[in-house]
Formats: sequence, structure tokens, C-alpha cells
Amino acid sequence: MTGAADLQGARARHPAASARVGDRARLERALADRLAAAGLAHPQVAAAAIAARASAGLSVEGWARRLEVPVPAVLAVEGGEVGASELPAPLRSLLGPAQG
Amino acid sequence: MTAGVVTAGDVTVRADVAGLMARMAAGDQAAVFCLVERHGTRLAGAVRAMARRRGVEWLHREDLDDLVVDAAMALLDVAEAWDPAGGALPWVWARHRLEAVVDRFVGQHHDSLDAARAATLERLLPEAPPPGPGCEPDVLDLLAHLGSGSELATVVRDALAQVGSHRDQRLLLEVRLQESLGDRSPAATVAPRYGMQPAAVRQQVRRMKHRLRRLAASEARFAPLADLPLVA
Repeated sequence: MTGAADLQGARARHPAASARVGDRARLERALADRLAAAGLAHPQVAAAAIAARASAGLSVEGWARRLEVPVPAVLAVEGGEVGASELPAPLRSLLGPAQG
Repeated sequence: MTAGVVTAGDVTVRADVAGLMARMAAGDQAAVFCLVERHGTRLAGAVRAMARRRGVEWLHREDLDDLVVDAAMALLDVAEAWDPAGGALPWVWARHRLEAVVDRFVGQHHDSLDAARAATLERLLPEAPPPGPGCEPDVLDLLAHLGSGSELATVVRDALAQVGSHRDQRLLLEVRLQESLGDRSPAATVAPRYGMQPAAVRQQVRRMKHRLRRLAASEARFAPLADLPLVA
């Protein structure tokens, strides 16, 4: 197990972890509202993708490398241009089918 | 921390915050998640102090979490304008933005009463008359009364208590009641009773419903809530 994985595991076991998960869900919702107000076509998908990258603690470039998808594809998803059914496979499996 | 002395911890916090604000200013919205995760406690302290200055001594945990998220979103809006060289942390520098967030929650713009003024007012004001036949019963009292004979009412009462302050419980119940009576603008009807703006009422009601749905999904005892029009 890597140091980063150790840290992630420790964070997940920490008593305050559930509060952080709750905060993330709240933030994701607030961000989706904000993106919807900005007129993005797929605000929930975009917010979920941004939240997933934030959880990984990676830049767009690092995230694209991790997912093995082109940077423009990540940017398009986070820019709300891509619907759930059109997500690149690695992101689709990560975000689940519920994102609309 | 001693006033006027900058500690190594302060420097680390400032450097981290500056990095996150720079990312936010550059359009990386993922950084706002990191801001809340790493500095949410500081943001919570700032909004709690603002709420206290507005006479709100105690915030429900869920309300505080919502305020922290709203405050973080407000910082996202102004990230580009914040200059770390100015010396103030973003939530201090953008205090007017954050105060507007807290004001929306509190629902009114007023000077808070200090304890002495509040005690004087309490002495001077006559006691409230007992409710007569024309008075509307308090919705929470009504729910408590129903709870003695209905298991579902007890579940609703307990769920509401878990997810919001007394004020927000009343807001949800009164708005839903108005809706059921055919009121097309229930928030506008209810808002003046609480000295709030209709938009603030709508936001709190939306949040309360979301919290109830989440509670219904997470705890078996509260599962029946999911089928109630109250959370629809």
C-alpha cells in the first residue's frame, strides 16, 4: 500500500470522515446549482466530475493521466458539455449511472 | 496564539489558502472542495461569529454546514480579487460577502440585542396572551400533539428535530401547509412571520426537504418519510 493510500484509509476511518463526506455532497449540490445558473448543459455531471477530481487531489492534467483520457475530454466534462451517457468510460464507471 | 505574533502554523495556513485561492481564481473549481476540507473549521468559526453578532447564539449542525458551503461559494466568486499580499485571510477580507450569506440565513438585517437590552425589553413587554379560539396553533405543538397518537407523526417530529432548528422545522411545515391550502406563493405568505425574504424561506425549505430525504434513505426508522408529500 502506498503512503497516499495509507493516508486515504486513515482519513476514511477518522470519526470526522462522515462529516467531510456530507460537506462534499453539499458542495457538489451547491456547485451544480451554480453551474446550472451559469447555463451549463449538464451541471450535475460537471459538478460530480469536479468533486471526483477534488477527492483525488489532482490537477486536470494529473486527473486526465490517471483516467487515461485526453485533457480536453476532462475539460469538456467539467465544462458541462457532456451528458452522463456520453461520458468517457473511466469517468462513467467512477461517477455511476445516476448522474443526469 | 498571541496577538500580533505570526506563528509557523499561520504561515502554513496562509500559504495553503493562497494556493487554493489562486487555483479558484484560475477557474479550478475543484479547489473549493479542498478549501472546505482543509479550512472548513476556520470558515465555520467565521460564519458562527457573524451569526452570533446577529443574535443567533446556536446554529444547528446542518445549518452550519450549509453556511460553510455558501461561504465557500461566495469566496469562489471573489477569488480573483483577493490578494494574499493584503494580509487578511479571504474570509476576513470578504467579510461583507460572508455577512450577506449569514444575513440570508438569519433572514433579517438588524442590530443584535445585547443581554442587558434584551432583559430590559423582556421586562417591559407584556406577556403574550393565551391562545384564544381565533389563534392558529403552533405547527410544532400540533405535531407534538399528533405524535401522541400516531407513529408516523412521531417519526416526522423526530426527523424534523434531527435535521433543523425549531425555526426551520416551522418554516417547512407552514410552507407545506400553505401549499396544501392552495397558496401559490407559500414562501411569500410565510416569510413576513419570520422577518425573512421569500427567497430565503424557499432556500431553507429546499434544504430541509433534502435533509429529510437523505435521512429517509439512510435510516430505516425514517424510511416512511420518503413517501410523504412533506418531502416531495
